[in-house]
Amino acid sequence: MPGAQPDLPVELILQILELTDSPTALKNAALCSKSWNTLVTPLLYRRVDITVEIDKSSEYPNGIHTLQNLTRLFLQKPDIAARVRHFSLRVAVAFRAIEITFGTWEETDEERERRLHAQHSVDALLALLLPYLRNVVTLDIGAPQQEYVSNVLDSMDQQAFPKLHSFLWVVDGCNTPPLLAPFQLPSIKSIYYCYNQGGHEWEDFDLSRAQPRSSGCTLLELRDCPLSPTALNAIIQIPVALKILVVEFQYRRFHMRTPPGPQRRCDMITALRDAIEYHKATLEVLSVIPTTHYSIRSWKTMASLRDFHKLRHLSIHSGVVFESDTATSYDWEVEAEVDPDAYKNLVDFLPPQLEVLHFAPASRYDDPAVEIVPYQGLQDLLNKRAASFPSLKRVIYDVQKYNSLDESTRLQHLSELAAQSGVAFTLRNINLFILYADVGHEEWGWDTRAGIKWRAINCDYEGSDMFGKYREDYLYLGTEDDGRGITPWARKPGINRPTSPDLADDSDQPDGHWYELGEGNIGGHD
Amino acid sequence: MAANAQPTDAQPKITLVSSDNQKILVDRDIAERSVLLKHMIQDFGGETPDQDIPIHNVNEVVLKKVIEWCEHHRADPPATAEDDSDNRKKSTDIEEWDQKFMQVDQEMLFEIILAANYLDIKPLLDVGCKTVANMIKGKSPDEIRKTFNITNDFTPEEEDQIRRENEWAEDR
Repeated sequence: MPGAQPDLPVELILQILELTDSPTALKNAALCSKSWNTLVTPLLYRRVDITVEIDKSSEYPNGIHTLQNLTRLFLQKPDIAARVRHFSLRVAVAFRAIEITFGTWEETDEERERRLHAQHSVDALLALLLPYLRNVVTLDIGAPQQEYVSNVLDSMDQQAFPKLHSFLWVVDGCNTPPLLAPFQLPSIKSIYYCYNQGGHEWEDFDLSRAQPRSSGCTLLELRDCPLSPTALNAIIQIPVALKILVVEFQYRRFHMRTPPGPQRRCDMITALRDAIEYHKATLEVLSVIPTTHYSIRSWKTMASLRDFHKLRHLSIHSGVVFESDTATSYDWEVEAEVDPDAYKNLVDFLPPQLEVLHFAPASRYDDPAVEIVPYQGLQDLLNKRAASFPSLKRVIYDVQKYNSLDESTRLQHLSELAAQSGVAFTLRNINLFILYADVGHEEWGWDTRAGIKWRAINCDYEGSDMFGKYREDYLYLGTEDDGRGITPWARKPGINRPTSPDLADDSDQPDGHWYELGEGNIGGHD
Repeated sequence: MAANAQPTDAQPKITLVSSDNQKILVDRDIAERSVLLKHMIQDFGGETPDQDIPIHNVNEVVLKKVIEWCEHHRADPPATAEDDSDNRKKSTDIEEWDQKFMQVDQEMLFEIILAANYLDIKPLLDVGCKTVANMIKGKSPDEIRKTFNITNDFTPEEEDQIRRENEWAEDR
């Protein structure tokens, strides 16, 4: 019959559906017929990403009822829940996490009640649903209230999630999160903990439960976690052999200018350095960066990482490398005493096989004398690259939007030096990190081999993406490898105005966040 | 393969016969893109067979289209076992030439997929399936039913129930 369309056999339809990466398409396909539903449902439930917008009523999609329906389904049909390999939950926030946790002054009693009720419901539903995810491989949970969830995690045994490989937990709303339990899961390889701003401070966990070198976990990220130095040290020592460690120091405790801030910083750095010594033979990636303000003085230097023979990627604050200040001179007004030879510490600090150095320098809030040391250190490193660091291929240097003319000249020079020594040089804008700390959580880890796409910590309501559109634009200022050098201030018109709606329109540019070298634009901020 | 190394003009030819009895002469290495044909040729003891090979399930128009694809991809390295499993799974990216090649009506597209499946030409089957996968994107359940000749056997209540259960699923 001419024009008749051939029917595809089931195995080919299945093959086509397996190639569909769109959940919406699978959702629609599941509605076509009973036989299609049977084919599609297992595929659809391989990966469940759910967003709950908790102050929306049930007429809207993504209200609390969406989670209720999913939970009911899992309870009634555990075989569908057993299909889930990846599960993630986020609670969308209208503006910022802090508002959803504490509420705002404008919030009425009725609104507050509804919000609190919704938070508890999400917590309870999630706690009901989690045990049904028998075969989950990657689990990613974040919600502003997690008391029940935390109980579930605390009480899980070896059989709880036998296949769980990666666990990301945005810990919020529990005082003593069961951080240790996931380490003992039989298949665990990666653990990511993040403390959501606005949550409760953590109490110390029971350190006697932290068995040193008892876990197969090889990747650990601790972002913003309010851990004590002792707890930090203990937790890093639980894995037998870490390959990747990311510690983003907690904002509130770590950044205090007055005591116990500086003392705490010293204790944290010491605790961290002691702990990583146990992973000396295996550690490949290490990141020790504070969350937001890089402008902190009074860091404590760390013993050299020269003997870390596997270390290839290092992200580190210059304060850990250079003795820029003493721990006790927390007074902002006191000028730092800088050893003129301080910059030499960098090349002594780094292992010779290092490939990538991400360096976060002290910023403009510091004394010029302090500010120049990381620059001199990098200059020294690039000069010695050929002889001492043959594998070094990339340097990422954090800067702020508002820089001095001096710094501009220095950065230009560094960029030229990098080009000469065959090292890719990237300038990263960190200014926005101060305004919107959440941006820092966008990127998780370096475990790209795992191919997991973790979700951002805070979801925005659809249509009101406060940060997403220009987030990328602000991450990078400079450029690399284009042979034209760098000028961080030569931005596209309008790009400096974060509130402008048109700045997101970078679609005509293949790479929206790399900036052109332009003349006459050097000179810094307005 | 040794055969692939030979220059094109020295290629031994093979005669394929389509389901509508049309003879098509092709270079052996092009025919061998099809695992089915490759095995058949091997059954002749590695010699280039001088008799016609009937392709019962594929008509001339479709067979020519398939041969056109094989000709363009004659020099592609053979796919390895690991390639099939993970790499190909997620991505619905299709290279430009293949995209153009697949710009045919839906009937032809399905015929190509069926032929690629029958002749066992994995990369072509893949491109075909990816093209259909992309087609499904953005289609309503009704539109998908039309595309695949599906009869809806759900009651409105059943459909509603499934809609509710799967409400969480959305593209991001």
